[in-house]
Amino acid sequence: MIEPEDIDGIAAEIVLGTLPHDEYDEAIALKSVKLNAAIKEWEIRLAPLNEDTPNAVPSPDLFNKIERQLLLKPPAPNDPDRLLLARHAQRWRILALAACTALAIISGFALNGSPSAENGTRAVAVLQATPSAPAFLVSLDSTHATLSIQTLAATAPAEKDYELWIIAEGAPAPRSLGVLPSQGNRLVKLSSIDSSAIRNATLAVSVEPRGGSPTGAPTGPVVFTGKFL
Amino acid sequence: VRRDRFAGKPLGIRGDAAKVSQKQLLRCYKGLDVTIDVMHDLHCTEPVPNQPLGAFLAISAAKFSAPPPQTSQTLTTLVERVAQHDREAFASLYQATSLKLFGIALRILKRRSWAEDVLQDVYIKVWERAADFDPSKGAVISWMATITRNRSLDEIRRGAHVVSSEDVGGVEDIASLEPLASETMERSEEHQRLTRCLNGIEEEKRKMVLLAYHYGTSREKLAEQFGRPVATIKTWLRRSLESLKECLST
Repeated sequence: MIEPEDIDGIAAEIVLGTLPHDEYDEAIALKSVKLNAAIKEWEIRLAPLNEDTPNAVPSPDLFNKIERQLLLKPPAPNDPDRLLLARHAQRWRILALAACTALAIISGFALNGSPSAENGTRAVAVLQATPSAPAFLVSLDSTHATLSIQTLAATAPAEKDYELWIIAEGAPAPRSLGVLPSQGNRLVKLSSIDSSAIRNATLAVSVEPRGGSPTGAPTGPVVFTGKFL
Repeated sequence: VRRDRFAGKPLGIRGDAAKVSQKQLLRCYKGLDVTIDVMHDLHCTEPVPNQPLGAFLAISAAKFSAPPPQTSQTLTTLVERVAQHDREAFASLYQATSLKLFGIALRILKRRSWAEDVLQDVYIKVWERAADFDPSKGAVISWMATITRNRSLDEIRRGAHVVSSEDVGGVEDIASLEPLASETMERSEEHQRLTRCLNGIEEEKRKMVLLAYHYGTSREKLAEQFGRPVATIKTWLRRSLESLKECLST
């Protein structure tokens, strides 16, 4: 319990940053309207000090990281974000197509050796951090409801695994397609995922503890993303 | 200057974009400028890729060219557009504010990777909460700075990150706490009022307040640094803040 005459002092020290964390937790847990109002007032009172803080330059990659993380958040049904996401995806498709074409030429990669190349719907997605650095190539065979994932150039950090996620349009949350191999190919059977829904989905790769996310949702940073061309 | 900490490491630059001159870049390229102060003028810590001097200068100059100054009105418009989940506005908002916010987080957390993690959370939050921004309750930059400070303070409060003296800027720099007179000319009216009131507080106590605000220095650390009991620090902080409030309300 906070004494009424103490509220302002506590609020001031919360904003200053000097209230010890146990007292901080205790104070915040009270959800006191008066305390919150006092905190807001102190924030405004001291905010001009931020003008004295010299700028510093974050790494140039940070904004891309943030954008990738935003992409993992599925938009709400009537979200205007959806349209922008689609536009964004369009730009990606073009970039990815360029990367993919180059790749196919250089490495002689083709969709060879796969059955039913004629009647199965095929789509390819390049998962990458930047257009110049494709990491995984994912091909969809809707006839056999399989995804084939080829590792191009991707090494997970020590003690970590890459996990593939699919964010289908309108899906409430990303779902796991399993941990990715550090090299070679992996085949995923799409038993419970409708392969037509997957066609427009966003694929993303996150860094997870060995063996994959313990929670069923991505826990680490998203490092590669892509969509089917 | 603790040059030994960077011995053998190739050096890059970090600092206030507007203040980095060609000459300073050159010194950085040669690995000459290593300052303890995290944010002041120049700080050479990032690896310089193996490249000829000309290319280095060109890239650095581009990297450090400051984004165009944004008036508070344009920032408000950007936030309104971000509330509609406009990604281009979001990118512009990032451009216009990330240097300042990173400066704030880095001063408190002292390690680039931690400060970048915090910044990532901050911008995600801004994306999600832009609709909650109320222009009548202050400027965009203050709102974002508050979110950044709170997230950064949260990190150190939880003890998730123990800042060691090995970290860049592990030494809190009292000298840089108070802006030069020439700099205060460009500050807002609110800032000038707050500075006047701060100057009414005894120097030692004022420094404690500023160290806590800018560097997230705890009561314990202040006690250590100023050679006073923790209880005294608490009393002094509370009294200083109280008199500050009183001064500002008149």
